[in-house]
Amino acid sequence: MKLLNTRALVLRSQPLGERDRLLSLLTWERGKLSAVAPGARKIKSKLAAGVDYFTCGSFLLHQGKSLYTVNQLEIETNFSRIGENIKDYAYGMYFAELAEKLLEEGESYPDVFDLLLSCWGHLLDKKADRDVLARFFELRILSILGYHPHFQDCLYCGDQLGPFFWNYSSGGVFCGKCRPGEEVVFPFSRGTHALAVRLLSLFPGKIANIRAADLQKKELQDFTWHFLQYWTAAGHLKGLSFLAKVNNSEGDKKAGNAPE
Amino acid sequence: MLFSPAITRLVDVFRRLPGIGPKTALRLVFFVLSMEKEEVEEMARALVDAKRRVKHCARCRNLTEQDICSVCRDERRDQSLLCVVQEPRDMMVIEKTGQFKGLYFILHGALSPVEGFGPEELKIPDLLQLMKTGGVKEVIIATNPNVEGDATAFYIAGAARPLGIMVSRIGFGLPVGGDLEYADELTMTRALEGRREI
Repeated sequence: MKLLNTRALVLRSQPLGERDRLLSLLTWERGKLSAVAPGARKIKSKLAAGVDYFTCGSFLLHQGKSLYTVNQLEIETNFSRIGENIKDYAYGMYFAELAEKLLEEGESYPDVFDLLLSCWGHLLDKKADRDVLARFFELRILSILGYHPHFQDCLYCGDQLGPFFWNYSSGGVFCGKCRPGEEVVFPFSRGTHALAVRLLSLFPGKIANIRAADLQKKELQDFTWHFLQYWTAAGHLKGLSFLAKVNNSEGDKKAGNAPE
Repeated sequence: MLFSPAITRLVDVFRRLPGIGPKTALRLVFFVLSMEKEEVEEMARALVDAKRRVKHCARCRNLTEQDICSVCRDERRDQSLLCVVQEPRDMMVIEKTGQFKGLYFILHGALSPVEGFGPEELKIPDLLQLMKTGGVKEVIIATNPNVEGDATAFYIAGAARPLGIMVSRIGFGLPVGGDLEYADELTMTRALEGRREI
């Protein structure tokens, strides 16, 4: 009998049949894997609380032909209180979805494990700017997986002063002199450039101290979202659509359009 | 081909149902084929009739054949008390207790990026409108005790608070008949948080 005793984060937890749950777990030893939690939807299930989103636990898994089965688990850290704020919930789910889509099964990713654990933790802590935290997560996971965006200097001539620009196919930024003549380019202001460089080298514990202007956050968001679509196989990210819905709903409330 | 095209097609149709795999689907097909022709026709008519007639109640979104469901039409029920549930099945479970005499609002899901359900899809603006104009004084949120249910509950509570309506959530904790020693840490934490004086 093949048993695996491992720490794992729950990336996805969906109903399966009448009483089970199908999980996507990010394990410390074996990276991403799929597992069934039998009976986890029953009210008296011992597994129910530990197989929900935003959980870090110690799992005892039995390896089957195509799926693992959760035999036992012990909750190590539960971040379920992220769900108490709709925006934090949207960001937390987006982080899990991004990790789930970018990681390959059967490869170990301890750095991504630590990154996700740390970012979920920051969502419970009210100090960190959520947009900055999201850009930090995106840039760091890209970097860990080998898609490190080039921000240090101009991609072509090495100019470090800027001002910088980027386009859809660039893996980083370029200066005004090296700007491709006929292609659409987007600005990357000095403040955004400094923020991006800082986020790529920042110790995760320090993210709560980082603040940025709205323009910088918007420019960096445009870059990372396009970079994700162009360079990775992430495809459509439901978390981003959900974030947009939540932001629209919040916007309606502020504008007085909601039926309050 | 092992089976005729008609059988294969019927197996494919049954497989679309939740929890039905290829083996169960084939077993159901053989059972249907062994039934009397009249019984099968009645079954097919019932399926089409239900799909054609059943719609959402204009007030609570329960499944009904009328514009307003029988629960909402019942004048003996407390109009000022509203229970918000995820699915019509959840409403049935609460009704079975006989303890709740108010009205319901059925979301047909929970806030979920995975399912693509945002506030608009769950008709939360309609719920807020009902709270505002329907004479509601207390809202009991009975979403599932998981992250998606929590997020939905807190979102509705946050939106209802400015309306001056009392919002509560059903209790969390240990299931009746269970042994304390088998409770997980999270359930036990919630049970301690939700303790009450006796």
